[in-house]
Amino acid sequence: MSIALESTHLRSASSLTKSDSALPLSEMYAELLPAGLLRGQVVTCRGPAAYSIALGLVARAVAVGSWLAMVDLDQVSPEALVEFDIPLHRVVGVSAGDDLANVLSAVFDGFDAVMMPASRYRGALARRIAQRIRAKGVTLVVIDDTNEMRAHDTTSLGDIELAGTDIRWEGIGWGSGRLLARYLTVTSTGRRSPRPLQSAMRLPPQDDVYGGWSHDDETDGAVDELIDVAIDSEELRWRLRVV
Amino acid sequence: MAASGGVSSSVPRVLTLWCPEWPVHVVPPVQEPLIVLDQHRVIAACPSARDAGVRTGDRRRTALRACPNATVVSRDYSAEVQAFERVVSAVAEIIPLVELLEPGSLCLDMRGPTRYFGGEHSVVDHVRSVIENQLAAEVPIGIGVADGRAASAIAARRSGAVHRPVIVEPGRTAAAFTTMSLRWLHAIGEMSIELVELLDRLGIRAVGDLAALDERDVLTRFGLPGVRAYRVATGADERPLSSVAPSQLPERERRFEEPVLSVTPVVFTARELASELVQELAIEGLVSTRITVAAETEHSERTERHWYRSEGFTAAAIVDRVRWQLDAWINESSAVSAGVIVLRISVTAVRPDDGVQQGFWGGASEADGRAARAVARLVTLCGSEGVRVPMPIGGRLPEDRYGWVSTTVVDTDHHVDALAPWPGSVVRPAPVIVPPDEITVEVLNDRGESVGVSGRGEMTSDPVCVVIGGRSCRVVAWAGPWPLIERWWDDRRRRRLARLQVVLEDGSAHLLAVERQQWHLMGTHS
Repeated sequence: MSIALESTHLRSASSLTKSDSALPLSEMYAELLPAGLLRGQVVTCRGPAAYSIALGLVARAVAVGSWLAMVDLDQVSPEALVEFDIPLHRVVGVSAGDDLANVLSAVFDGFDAVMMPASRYRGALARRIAQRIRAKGVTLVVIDDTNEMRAHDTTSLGDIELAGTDIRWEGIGWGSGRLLARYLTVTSTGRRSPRPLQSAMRLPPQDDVYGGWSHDDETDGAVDELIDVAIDSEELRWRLRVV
Repeated sequence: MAASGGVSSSVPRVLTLWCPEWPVHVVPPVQEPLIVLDQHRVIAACPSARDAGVRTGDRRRTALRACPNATVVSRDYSAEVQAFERVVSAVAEIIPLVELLEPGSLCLDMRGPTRYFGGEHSVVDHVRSVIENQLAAEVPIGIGVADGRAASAIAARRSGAVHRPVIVEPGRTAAAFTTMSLRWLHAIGEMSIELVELLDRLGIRAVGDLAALDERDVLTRFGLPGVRAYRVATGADERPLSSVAPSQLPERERRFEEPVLSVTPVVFTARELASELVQELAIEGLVSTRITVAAETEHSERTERHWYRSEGFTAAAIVDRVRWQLDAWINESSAVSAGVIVLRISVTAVRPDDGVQQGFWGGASEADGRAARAVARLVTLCGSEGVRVPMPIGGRLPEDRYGWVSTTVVDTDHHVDALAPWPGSVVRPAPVIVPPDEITVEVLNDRGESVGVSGRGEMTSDPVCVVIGGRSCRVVAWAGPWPLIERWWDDRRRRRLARLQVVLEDGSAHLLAVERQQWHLMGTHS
């Protein structure tokens, strides 16, 4: 029973009432956003891990049925979306061109979550966008991965800011290993929260050591077993052939 | 050998006009060489770029590697249609029933004109002379006449290559195209690239090879798409005749209370009409292949064009045609002097829909419907090229593995997220940012010299510093190099490179690659 309730497609009755005001959020972010990923909010992600923080933030919502629009983010690789468990068939990329205001208003009509780069969210337009998403109940994620901290006006700061610091990559050494995942501290500061909240997390979130080498769970299991039986080299040789 | 010459007389004779490299000729004069891209792939190039080795379908990087000083522009559909409108009107003056295939290509039924002008050669000469009056001398054109649309489209493409009209005698289709590559069937939209590649792996490479098979064998092994390609290859009619009487074909008309002065609202209305039409046909299990779009202004100025699409029209494809046609119409000088009051879309030919059956379970949720409507609205705002969906493609390098594809060319009901295993690709996590352009970087050792990868796949020295975009950053960790040699048998597409992962002092991680002693940024883990 409990397994069924944890399934991504089923929701408990209590979550239904909450879902009107907030989008589903992965547990990783629960400490950072105690109120949840509220609709009508602007969340700004900063730092060298800005894109990963943003993808992790919306992953759960898209997985359970919300649609994600990525405005002027052509350079984002869909493969990264897959690694964050974001189903690609609910993601649409939009090249807004010069007519950003009109395009965004069409986007806000149809999508629950919208991502855009900070370079396109500023000034008077940012204020208009913020009003619009509040009216439409859309969550906007603004990505700012520039290193320098610009002098922001208060609007382009957004309601909540998530910044990744103390990034430590796992799995890579000096000429050895490979990138596996990064550990980082994400700090959330908000206009309405009294003090900054911090949480340590691992991005990308999957916890599979053999990930990428093969997506096939069965093979992974076989490799685990291999290590167990490594004592018997004859056996090992046989199994290697099978794998 | 199957009987390939026996073509029934029901196959109409069709003339196809095709302007090779049309997108190049509508670009305002810029410095040559010139390459035109659509969705990061080459669709056309000027002769000097072609000589340098740029081919259709190349990625931007591959094309620029072949021709580094080229000017790159992206495709402008409305400009293409506008420029082509002159050709269409000129041809329509002498032969009224002209069908547009896409910008730069049209076809017409030869039956009437042949009788009127006295012979197919005479028709071709007339068409050629009116077109040459409209176009500059250096614009190449291809004119092909053959049985059926598909064969004449192939003939037109061959004509573009040999610089003279190609007329295939009735019943000689199969013989005329025996040695042509099957890729031409893909180029004219009669065959998916997957099927071409599958046949290629099975050793069936030329049109004649396919035609030599037995139709029943083709059906059992390759299904309906295979049979369709087989019919084209053997010169039979590519589509069985429709059993629907013309009077039953649906038509939608919208009269505007107030004359509409801008294109956007008309296109938005077209969207509604188009989805109604497509739905109505879908209930019968049909899809339209030919539509007529007509619009009229308050002052009785009219535009009417026939559009043909062998893959069948989706609602988005119809909307695209309406927008192209209206754009070309209102930009034509003195054609329009008042607002539009009538828009009419009629379906003039249908065929059974042999496409993908829609899912039975788990229909669309409310959010799906809302998003679909928003996507439709966005397509009318930014054009179908401005709205894209992610798609797995396959490859070993981050830039090859997934791509963003225009919503009109994908079947959004049929989704595949996973990718087959590609041994030799960089293991996950994948870089989040994959720059579309090649960004060169420098990788330096502790003496400030450039670091390389030896022929044995070893670093010549430890990388200590990486310079990206003029900013120098210290390396705190690195791994690799992982060499990769791809397609060594193919002179143009082969790649030999080595990949390197670096973590810089600011916590950012990058995937770099060295190819021909030059490092570049392949992706960034952001």
